[in-house]
Amino acid sequence: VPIGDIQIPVIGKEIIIVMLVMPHILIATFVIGITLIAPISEYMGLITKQPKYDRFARNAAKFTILIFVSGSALAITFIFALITLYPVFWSYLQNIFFWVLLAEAFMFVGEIALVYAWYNAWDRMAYRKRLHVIFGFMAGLFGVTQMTLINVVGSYMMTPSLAQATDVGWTYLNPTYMPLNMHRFAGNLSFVGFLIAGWAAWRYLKSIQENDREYYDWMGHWGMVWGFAFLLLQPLLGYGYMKEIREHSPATFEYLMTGDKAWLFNLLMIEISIMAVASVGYFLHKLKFAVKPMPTLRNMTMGALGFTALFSALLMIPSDMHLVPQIGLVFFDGTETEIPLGAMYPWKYIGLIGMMLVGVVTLGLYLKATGSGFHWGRANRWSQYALLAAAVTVVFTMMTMGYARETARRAGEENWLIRGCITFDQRVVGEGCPAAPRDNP
Amino acid sequence: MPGGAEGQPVMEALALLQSELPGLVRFFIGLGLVVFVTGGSVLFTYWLSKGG
Repeated sequence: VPIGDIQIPVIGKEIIIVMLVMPHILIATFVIGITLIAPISEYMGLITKQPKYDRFARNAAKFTILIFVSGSALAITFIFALITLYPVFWSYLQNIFFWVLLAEAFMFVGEIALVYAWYNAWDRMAYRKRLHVIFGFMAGLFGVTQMTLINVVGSYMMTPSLAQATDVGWTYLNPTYMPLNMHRFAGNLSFVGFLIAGWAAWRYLKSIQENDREYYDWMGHWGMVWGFAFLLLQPLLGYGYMKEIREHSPATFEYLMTGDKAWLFNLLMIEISIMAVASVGYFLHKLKFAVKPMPTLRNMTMGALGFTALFSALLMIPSDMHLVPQIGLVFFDGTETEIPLGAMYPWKYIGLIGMMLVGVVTLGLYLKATGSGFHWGRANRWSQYALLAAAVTVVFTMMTMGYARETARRAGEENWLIRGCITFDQRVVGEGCPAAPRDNP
Repeated sequence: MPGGAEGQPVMEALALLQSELPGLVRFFIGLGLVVFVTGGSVLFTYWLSKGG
């Protein structure tokens, strides 16, 4: 029986796609990030001779294999849903990006084959550790390549090429392609870092054996260093990304930064602030347990926590009273009622740059203390709650930004699947679309 | 879209909320489904890691 143009009652087609893609992205991001962090951890174990690094890497490899099942099942189901619900759009995309999608499929195979080999050969290659680490890194490399390939498609949908679709260079390296790659690469590592920290905190709080407490205390620290270090890069990389969007898709920029969906970035600032304050607070607590006491360093970190809180407060102030128009959170004269200290220039810039600089200094101080080591297993429960808060927040941050990128298609007078080329109801537009056939739009 | 008068009356805000309800309901259904599928996947993986 032909299915025709299927309409999903109540929730609509988009929710079906969201339901499949968002969990897939959360899992895929985890897989890519962990296949970079875990081999580095294994290598650290090799050079420092500390077994905890290897224990962590091995458990991470096992979990990666298992979660790959759900992640890839969601990906396949998503493609199936896309073909069924958006056949015109999909055939259009498949035509332009056939080689990208083919390569993407092979990356899936390569990645899972290498992760399996890496995990399976752990004992067998115990005396060829360097070669074994390379297995892990290769799996990570496949994952990153996979991400860069799908970014071709994702970035093209927001900012289609500046030339005809047959011009491969322009099409693949479309305006937001590189910023998206950089933003997602750092995001993968930060996301996974905070998740590692959150998991470690959970296990630490439940552990009763001393060696487990020591291990999970260390694991929380290890994850937090990754999470916070790469979080610090994100405002800069995100700024570069938004700059490209502003230049090549002004309507999208307006919609997200000053328009009806600007609340998403206000929400993002709250999320970033929670993660930053939780991270610096955690570092401050941890410094109490440095093997070599460092009171000056701790006092400086305490100051850094104060500054982080100050910059966070600055970032969280909305620019006007047009808060969330979708649910009626508009007060006084809306956009006309500006809030002091809420403007992008100079206050948000001061907040972002300040937070990044203070963060870099804090991380530097903390890593200096790490050099002398910590007494593991003595962290209090509040420090673990900070790790859990950061982990939960990073998941919501991913969801917020994923939603922001996809809802940006609604910017302007038309809702787009590919901006300027294909509308939500799969109408192909010739005028102004570089990929569309010019003679017969 | 409200936002004109200073001190917007509560009833006006409620009326707007009601008119936007389908969008809000869709938003929360979507969010719920995402949490359900992601949580289910993670719990399934955890169960597998414990030996199934």
